[in-house]
Amino acid sequence: MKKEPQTTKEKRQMKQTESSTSNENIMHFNLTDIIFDWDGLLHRLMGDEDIAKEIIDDFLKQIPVNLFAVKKALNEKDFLLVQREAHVIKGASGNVGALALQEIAEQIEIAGEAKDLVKAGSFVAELDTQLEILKNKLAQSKD
Amino acid sequence: MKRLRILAVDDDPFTLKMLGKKLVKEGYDIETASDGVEAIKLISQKFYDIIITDLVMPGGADGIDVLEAAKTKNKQTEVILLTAHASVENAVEAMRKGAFDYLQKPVNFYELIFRMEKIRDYKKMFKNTQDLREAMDVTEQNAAQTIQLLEMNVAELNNVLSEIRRVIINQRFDPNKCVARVLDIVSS
Repeated sequence: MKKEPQTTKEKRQMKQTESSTSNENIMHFNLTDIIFDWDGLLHRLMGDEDIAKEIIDDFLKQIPVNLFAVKKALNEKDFLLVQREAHVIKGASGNVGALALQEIAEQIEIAGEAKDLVKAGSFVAELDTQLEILKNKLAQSKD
Repeated sequence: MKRLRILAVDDDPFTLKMLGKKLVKEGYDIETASDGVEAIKLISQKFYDIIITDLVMPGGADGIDVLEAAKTKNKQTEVILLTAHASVENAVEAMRKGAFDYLQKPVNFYELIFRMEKIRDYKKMFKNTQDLREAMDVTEQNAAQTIQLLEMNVAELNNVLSEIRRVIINQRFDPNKCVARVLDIVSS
């Protein structure tokens, strides 16, 4: 949680290069240390913790709704809707600093565009897991 | 200078909420719209000093449409565009269409507020220039009126003089009558 944004960004960039060069290893990258860029969010908000916390609360309430929509669309093989909903999650995650979710949502969007049901499905499962990890992390840091 | 009226437009609810909350805290008078269509409706109803809008939005209207609607309604509205990394080229295009500046998402409020202060300064300068121009116009108008008045006076005096000249020529053999007649003309 308490990471230097600079380091986080660098690590993230390294991962992006990795994922773009080796598509097969896409599921294996380690996301644990970039789950949420709290320092970055706080800095962008000029240190306003109240707003940051409120936004995170909203985010944790909203994302499960979008995730449910992705799952439903995937069940119905509506790849266009999968893409659209994943795009919404990607954007929202990027804007609040949920970097892990942002990356996975992007992968779902790409898999949706390729109409790759298997890949999309596994990334959706990954998103589920990461969302739970994020919830727990943020709940812990509140104490 | 009175508070700047701001309209923030973004389909991402979290960005929109951050904009709304943070800018109110910073003392701006802010309204929000969650898509381009809603924004354009608001723009048609009232004046905003600054519009902060996302460039890429789903639905009938994107950031460029919002920019065009704003500039058509009132050229004094300044527009700041928010873009994802991928759409910087579009943002440059938007600058050509009259946007004041653009910012990359996620929004950094230090950068945003810095740009809004630049707009405020620019507007102040613009207003000063306008005030000076108005003052100059008034001065010019006053001068023109004075000159017109003077010209009318000169014309009137010329009339009086030619009248006097006529009297003197007609009654040159009776100086008393002549003086009485001239006094008549001058006092009328």
